[in-house]
Amino acid sequence: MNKPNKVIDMSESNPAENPARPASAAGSAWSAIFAAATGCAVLGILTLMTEIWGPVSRLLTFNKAAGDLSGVTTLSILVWLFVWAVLHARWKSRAMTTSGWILAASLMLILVGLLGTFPPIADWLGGP
Amino acid sequence: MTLTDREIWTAAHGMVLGAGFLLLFSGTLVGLWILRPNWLTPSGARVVARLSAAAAWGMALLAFAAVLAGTYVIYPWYRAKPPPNATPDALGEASPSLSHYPKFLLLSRPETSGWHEFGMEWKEHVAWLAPILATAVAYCLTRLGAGLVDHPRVRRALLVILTISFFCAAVAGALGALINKAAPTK
Repeated sequence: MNKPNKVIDMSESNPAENPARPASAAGSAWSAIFAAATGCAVLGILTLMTEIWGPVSRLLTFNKAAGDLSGVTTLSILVWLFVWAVLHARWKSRAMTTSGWILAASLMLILVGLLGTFPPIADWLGGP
Repeated sequence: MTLTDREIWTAAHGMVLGAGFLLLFSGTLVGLWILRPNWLTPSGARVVARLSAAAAWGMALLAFAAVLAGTYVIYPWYRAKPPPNATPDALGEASPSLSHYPKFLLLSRPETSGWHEFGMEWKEHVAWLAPILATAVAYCLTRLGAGLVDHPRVRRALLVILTISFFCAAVAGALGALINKAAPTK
């Protein structure tokens, strides 16, 4: 008679009860997701600002050959990394059981980033 | 059969870095998709998580290399200002060609100006979203590993973010190929 195969059911696993998979790791993950979304939003907003206002474009021209794209992307990366560091420090030891709002806010921020980079939006807002 | 330095950089930017990113996306997507309870044994989940994390870090590195090369090496060639007397078609020494100034070549004709005003303007910015989002996915895959099976909401969020990252890279890649066809950087 064959021995039945051992079934491993992971559907009921609870990270809070499983020390090998600490729930706090989710806090780190959400901080990375939210910070990346913030970086995207900043990139979109700065892109719009450089398209609409000439002085902002000149201010963000960190590299003459690359134009204001250099400043827009450098600042976005810096904001992204700064927000990530701050949120990671605050959320790394949290279980983050109510993460729905983080996901919703992250998706909204990414949408801001996508819309900000879409040229017809700048044209609509009065760009050149 | 020769390529100029500019053509080599452009090909590496699009066909090596960009295409590599798109290929690694497939592996990361499959890994994230199957990291769920009941689908994998614990040891299988660990292997899949490790492979997915490696693929995601590959995506992030290639995307950063692509946007940095695009912004600081190729884009300056694309947007370089031509001599004031340059025209779309060379008319001898008195009037050099715009063919080495892709941005101004595109803008010189109403039927091609959209490639710059819409195509390049969107491409140069939206491409930068891809490495930022890919890095978040890679970090989460590394941090949580096989533990992602216990965090279905994080896993679903990563699937969405990974797809948006792919969308951004695909838009940038497709527009880049079309713009380079209309006005090659050479």
